[in-house]
Amino acid sequence: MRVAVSVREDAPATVIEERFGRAPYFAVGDPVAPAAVEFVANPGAVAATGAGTGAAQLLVNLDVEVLITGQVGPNALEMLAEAGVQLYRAPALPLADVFEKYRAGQLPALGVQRF
Amino acid sequence: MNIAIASGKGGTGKTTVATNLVLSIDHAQYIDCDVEAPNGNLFLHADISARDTVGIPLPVIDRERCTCCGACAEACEFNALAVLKTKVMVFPELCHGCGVCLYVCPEDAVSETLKEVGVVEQGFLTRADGQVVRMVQGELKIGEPLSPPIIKQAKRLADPDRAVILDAPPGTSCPVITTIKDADYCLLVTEPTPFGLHDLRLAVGVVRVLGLSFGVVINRADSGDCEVLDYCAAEGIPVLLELPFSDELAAAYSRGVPLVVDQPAYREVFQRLYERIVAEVLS
Repeated sequence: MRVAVSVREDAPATVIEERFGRAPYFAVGDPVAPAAVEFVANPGAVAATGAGTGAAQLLVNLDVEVLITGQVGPNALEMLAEAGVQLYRAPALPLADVFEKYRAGQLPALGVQRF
Repeated sequence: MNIAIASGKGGTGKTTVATNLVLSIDHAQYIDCDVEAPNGNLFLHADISARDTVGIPLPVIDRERCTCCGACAEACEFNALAVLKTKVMVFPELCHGCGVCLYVCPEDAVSETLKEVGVVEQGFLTRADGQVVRMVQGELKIGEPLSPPIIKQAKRLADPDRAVILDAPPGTSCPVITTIKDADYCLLVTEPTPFGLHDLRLAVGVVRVLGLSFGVVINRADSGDCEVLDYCAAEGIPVLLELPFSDELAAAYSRGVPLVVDQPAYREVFQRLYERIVAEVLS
């Protein structure tokens, strides 16, 4: 399973970034084999507009099947739903803990958010 | 002569200065570029004689021709297009209508449709002295985020034979720059408070980058502190007018009565302001 997690730094010791569109990096890989995780810079982090759609486009291009993040805006949510990406919500925990919770099935699904 | 009235801080008196200028000088026209909240006509009371919609081109994808190659989304500066495995998604509220998607599509799969984002209205009013003043105002449709297309259209409608008074929106971002960038002179209206000074500094930064000739009007000049005056003196910025705070003027304002209508002696004050601007532009 190809999973992306929005994170603050491009290192295994990083913590989750709760904002999806403006997250500096995504950790992309298989939570079953966390050693092989790669860190990809998010172009949405510095986009003038459309941070969420830009970040979602990156994940679609990377063939991501699951996204773990804090919150997703309406445009990106629509895109990720259309692309069939499964979404899970996680607070600002260390990446390793998030992977563990994901494997244990302890992360709640992230649905439509109303502001 | 093309004069933009801007401020940085909102609520300092841009519309007060702009409407009273246009009611005081000869052969003038007022263009309300504060299209998110146009309020100049609350004071001018022009009869609207023409109303036109303003649109921006939105991409429409021909799914028969589209191969989902991704060229459009790659080129889009605003992330308004997303390319999935089997379809392209368009996010209308992110689109600036630049047309680059249509330009780069190798399959000729992009066409455009016009999306209404607002209106521009034109009208005239007759002053007490018999002079006819022209009024143009733009109004952004509620829920639309992009005001520059409407501001540009309102400016295009300027009559070149009349002095142009542009009432800018507050702030220092794209709508303000769209309004003031080609003006002959920019008047920055401020108030003598720390907030007024803070935002005046930002506005001065913008007009300096744009290379505009500019000066300051201090509204409610007898309230607050001296910091704005000190700043202008230190920076060599001319203070062209100081308007006092007055209960009578505030009362007239609240009834939609312009200063120079309530107190005609003020016409001369605004005529002198215009003469000073002309002198600044010519020097």
